[in-house]
Amino acid sequence: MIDESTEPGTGSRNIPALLAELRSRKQSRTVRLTGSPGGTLHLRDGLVVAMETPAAPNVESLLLKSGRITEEAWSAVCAADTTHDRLAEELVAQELVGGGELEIISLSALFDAAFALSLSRPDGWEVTDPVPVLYRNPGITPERLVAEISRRTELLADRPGSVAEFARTRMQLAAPAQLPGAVGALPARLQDVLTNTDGRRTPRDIAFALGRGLFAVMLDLRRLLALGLVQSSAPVAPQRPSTATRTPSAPVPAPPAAVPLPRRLPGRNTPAPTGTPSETP
Amino acid sequence: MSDPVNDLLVSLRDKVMGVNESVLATSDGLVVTSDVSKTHAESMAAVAAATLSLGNRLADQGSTGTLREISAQCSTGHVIVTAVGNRALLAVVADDGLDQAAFRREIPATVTELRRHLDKDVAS
Amino acid sequence: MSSLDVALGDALKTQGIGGAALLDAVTGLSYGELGDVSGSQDACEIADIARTRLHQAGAEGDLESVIVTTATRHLVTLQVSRTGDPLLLCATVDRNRTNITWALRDLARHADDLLR
Repeated sequence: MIDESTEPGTGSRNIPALLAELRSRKQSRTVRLTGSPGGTLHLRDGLVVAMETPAAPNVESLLLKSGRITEEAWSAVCAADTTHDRLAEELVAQELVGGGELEIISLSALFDAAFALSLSRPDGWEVTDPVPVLYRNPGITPERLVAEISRRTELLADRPGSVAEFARTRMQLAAPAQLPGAVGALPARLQDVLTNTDGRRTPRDIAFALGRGLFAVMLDLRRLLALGLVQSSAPVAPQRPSTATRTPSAPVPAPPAAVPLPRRLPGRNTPAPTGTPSETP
Repeated sequence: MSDPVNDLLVSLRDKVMGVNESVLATSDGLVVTSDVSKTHAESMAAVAAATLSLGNRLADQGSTGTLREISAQCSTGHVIVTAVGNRALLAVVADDGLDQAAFRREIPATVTELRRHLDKDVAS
Repeated sequence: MSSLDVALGDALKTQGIGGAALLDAVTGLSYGELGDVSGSQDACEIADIARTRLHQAGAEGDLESVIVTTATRHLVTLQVSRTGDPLLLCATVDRNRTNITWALRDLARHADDLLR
């Protein structure tokens, strides 16, 4: 039996263990991770063939958003195959995308989702029977997944702050005066990232907007950061109201009483007491 | 000075992966406040109000109770319109990676908070 | 067997090519490898340095190939353009069994077949 009663703190470390166990038993399963964000892992004969999470674009997003496949063609293929089980074969058979190309997209989406999911700890997981999913690759061992995630994390680790924090940071363009000369010389790929950097989007949002991988966009942003062309957007004011409470009338803070401002007296380093308790130690 | 109602929209975008833009509008289609960059808030408010009112009639025709929300699933994203009491609505634009679980978790609290603020508006 | 492994296998049938790997030019992810690929480990970084330095030197257009030559072999890295991020096709070429012009020509042909 799979032990689901893991402590939340060790949850993420046990996903590889879970995958290793499913692999040794050559099982075809779907593993649903709960958390923020959650995700879905698809296993065939013990190997991971696909992963999906709101934190990284899936194969469908990559195909459609990048313009590789038109909306009409996609709908036609989906209509022909209602279970989505043979979607990959159908796409290749109708010559909408090359077999090699689809394999590349399938693998890049799989490793990208694995990387994105590694940035947060899952609350828990549930192992269910396999569900159909679009994939085209021979399956990846848990060891290779873990090795690739470490490689990616290390590549981004030279930045101050954690990789997970970087993935959540809203990016904005640097001061416009610095931009013109440098931008023209950039590859089109980096220019596309720049045009999608608007102070609201996180690396994840930019990846979805472009139909590219999260990790690829983070690498490009790191380069643009080094060139001084983008910067992290000022964090949202921490004073925003909580939406957690459901009480109909939370007490509105009373306007501050008319207390005179602290006044500095000559010859003293600390403000003179004004009758209110001082908050500084 | 930030507006607490607008802060709720920004907070929803912060908490739910995939939420890109949102507009809070009155049921007759006027913008109350918006958190947008590309969406034209006035147009979105008008169309969302019309959609919600059609949705209410759909619910009537189907005898399926009170309408909760209307969602348009598109090829590369979603537009979700949720009623905020009887007098207002919230239109949310999200990308195709929307964290549905987080959205389901956050939207009731957001709607409740928005109602609390809007009810206060009406009373004063 | 994956389509990519089949295509890489075809590349290896070419005289003098001892190993081939297909990498993502941006992320460095390996999509497939066959034969002796010890030379492709850092291909992504090397191509990146070459690309950046060439641009700084005023070269126009995108990178096409990087060839590193030792006494016995060439390490050939070919950039493969596609919709989306480019790929790198890396190959180990035996200097005694073929010359670089033939190898480049054959590899370019295989690169086109890879995505089919």
